[in-house]
Amino acid sequence: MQPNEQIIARVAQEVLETMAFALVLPGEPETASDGPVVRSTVGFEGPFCGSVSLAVPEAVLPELAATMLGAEESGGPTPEQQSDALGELANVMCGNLVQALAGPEPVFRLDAPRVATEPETAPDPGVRTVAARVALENGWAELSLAWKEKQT
Amino acid sequence: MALNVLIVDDSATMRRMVARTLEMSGLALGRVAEAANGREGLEVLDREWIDVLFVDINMPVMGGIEMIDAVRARPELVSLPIVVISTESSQTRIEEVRRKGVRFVHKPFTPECIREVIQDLTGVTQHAAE
Repeated sequence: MQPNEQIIARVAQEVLETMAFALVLPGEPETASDGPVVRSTVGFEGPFCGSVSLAVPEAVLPELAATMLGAEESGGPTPEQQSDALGELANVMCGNLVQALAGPEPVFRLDAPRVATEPETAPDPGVRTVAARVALENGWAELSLAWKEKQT
Repeated sequence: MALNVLIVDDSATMRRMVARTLEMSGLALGRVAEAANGREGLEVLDREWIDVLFVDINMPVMGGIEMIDAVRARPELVSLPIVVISTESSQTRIEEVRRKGVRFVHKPFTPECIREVIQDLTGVTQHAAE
């Protein structure tokens, strides 16, 4: 398995464009502070184990969820719908990323998405991480992979 | 002919997304029914005419595979077009699902993909605007 930023960015872009109808811009996003960040994490088990996290600035989430759910003109999605939408995006990104890394045969079990506004905790010893941040029209989204090779 | 569809998924968000994608596909839709698990889905099928069933695999109470087996065991539903929508990526698992006589759509999916699958399953080509 050779995870790298390009694979992670490609998966993030494909899912954001297809599910959330988001326009992913070329190049690096601006690095200015965007306030609080909301993150959804999906754990997985298979030939390798770990988690995939999708983080976006809290200010970006309402519009992202609204376009996903078609709720642009109905007062916008509720906070619960926004969290669920982020969780679904993370879930699909996790499924697609582990397949991109492991190939089409291995079976992975995915956990239910967890959504939180707390900062990501430091990984356990032995856990490796790779992340990619993509630029959106109104902010950015960061997809990160944390994994641990299974002992054989 | 407007299609009546049933979307079975434990995530209300994903049910909404499938419904939105169906709306965007341009196909003429009738009623869009929803259920949160296989058991609720079977109850909908007991009382409503459904033309196409969309079902997730992993759900509480009754999962998608169990629901598909229950549907196929009913003579009146044996030919109901079924589409499984899932993040499942293992080709082995996907082939297991396909052997049950259902179509498999991998997430993420586009309106064009959904339209193509429905047209292939039902022969319906009429669009909403026609």
